[in-house]
Amino acid sequence: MSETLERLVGEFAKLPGIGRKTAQRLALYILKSGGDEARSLAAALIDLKEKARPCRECSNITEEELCGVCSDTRRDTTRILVVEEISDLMAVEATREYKGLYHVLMGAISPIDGIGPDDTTAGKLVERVKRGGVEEVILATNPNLRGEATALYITGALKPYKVKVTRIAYGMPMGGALEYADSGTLIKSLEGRREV
Amino acid sequence: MFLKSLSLLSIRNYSRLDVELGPGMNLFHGGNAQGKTNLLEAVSFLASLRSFRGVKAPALLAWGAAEGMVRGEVVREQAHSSSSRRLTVGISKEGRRVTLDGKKPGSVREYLLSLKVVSFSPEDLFLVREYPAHRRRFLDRSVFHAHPSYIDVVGRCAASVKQLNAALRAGDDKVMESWEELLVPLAAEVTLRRRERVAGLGPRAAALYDSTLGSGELGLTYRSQARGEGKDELESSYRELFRKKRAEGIRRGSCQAGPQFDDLGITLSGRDMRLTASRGQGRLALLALVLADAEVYRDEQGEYPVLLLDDVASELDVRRRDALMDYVSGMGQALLTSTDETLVSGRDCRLFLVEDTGDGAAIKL
Ligand SMILES: [Zn+2]
Repeated sequence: MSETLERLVGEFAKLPGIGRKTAQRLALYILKSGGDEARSLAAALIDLKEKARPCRECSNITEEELCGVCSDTRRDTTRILVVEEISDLMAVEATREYKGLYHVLMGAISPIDGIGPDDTTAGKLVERVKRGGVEEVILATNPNLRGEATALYITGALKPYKVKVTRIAYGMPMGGALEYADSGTLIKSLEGRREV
Repeated sequence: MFLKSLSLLSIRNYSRLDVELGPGMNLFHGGNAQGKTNLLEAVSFLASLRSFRGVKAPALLAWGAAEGMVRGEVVREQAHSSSSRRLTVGISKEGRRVTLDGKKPGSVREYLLSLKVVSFSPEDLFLVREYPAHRRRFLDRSVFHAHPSYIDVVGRCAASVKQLNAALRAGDDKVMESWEELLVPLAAEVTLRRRERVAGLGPRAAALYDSTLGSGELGLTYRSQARGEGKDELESSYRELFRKKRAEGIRRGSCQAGPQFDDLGITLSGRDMRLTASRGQGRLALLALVLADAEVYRDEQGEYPVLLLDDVASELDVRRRDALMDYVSGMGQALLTSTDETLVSGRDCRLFLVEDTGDGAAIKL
């Protein structure tokens, strides 16, 4: 294989969910496509890294100070839904059922992996609640041990403040992940949330 | 439940074996070191995915073999129906791969539920004598067949203990508290289930010991740091324990409370067998425990599990030996090994002569 082709295949193969075969197919597709397509792909990649940044409030991805959700005045600012990853936020947004705000933790607490609260945005969530105006924090961390422990941690950290903390009800098996749940299950989980 | 057939490929000293087994007693006899125990080890591995010799899967491979296999056809006869399933474990240097009827099972749980064996092996004596971890595992396996979801509880409990250990070393109190809180219901459930199990096994084992196997009062007790009757009380007890022992846990770098400290206590006429049992008493107590497990399984599932008795007769006097064989012949399928074929003389039993002539073990009928 030519060196430049090999390099692109190698880069594609690093991406999650992409095996060597798929990487090769993608690289050959780029090779065949017009120059514009390759340039626009490259520009999109660079733009994402250079222009996109975490939202000041919720750590969702944005090009501005605030993300599309936080800057939308029609959203219900009394509620914050807490998720581990941006992909979880996207899964909930896709249901179009939730009208409140989000908070993306950017991870879950896992001592054996050396991930403590400070490696997540848990502290920023407490600050948001402290500022006032939030009536309910909905914990939607994943239904696995790390997600549960993280939910317990946040519940403890929010105890001093006058805010209702709820945990969503999972209709999915323990060990599953939010982002893979179908929207029907997600909506039911949200509706069935319980105060902790 | 019984194993209708067993096949081995490159396992221990078997290069290839295909054998049809009877639904009752089956005796593998022959000289020492011919491969009799290897056969039972293979069956036990097929059922539990663990070797009773405490080694990892690749250790079962024949010398020089890159791959091997254990396969068995399990027939279950319940109420008005009979069903059969084919269990296969492929073993390679990387580990093991299981299939049920040729397909990857939906879960390991589904696989493990399809064959239950209870096994006695002289190498299991530590069950009575030493290692509490073995006794806990014995109880966990026994609970599992009655409450299949228990396997997940045990797994989550163990994973949470590891996380808590790491949290204790990392030093953030709030994080420790979160993992302790997560552990509380898991720990309480493990302790509760095991304790219920011991309560079920206890009278059975005591009756077996006193009437059939030995004489004396065999007692089983479940020992736990946690106190309390039901789940709620155990939960508050564990919550308290985690809190009280946290400082010590931080000092030692691992948590000092939880069901990983529980133990099955075995006493003979009130005396702790771990400390005082003779080798013979230990064997009989172990046998009583294993047979009690089979009886409890039958109470719950309506059929006996497959009984594996490795070299069970040695060190037993003739009277006890006959009493044991009478008892075993009233149970379901039993696979026995012995150097002495007169063990089963006069009984309805299939005989298999196991011989290793230098190029691997073989069976003669
Ligand atoms: Zn935002």
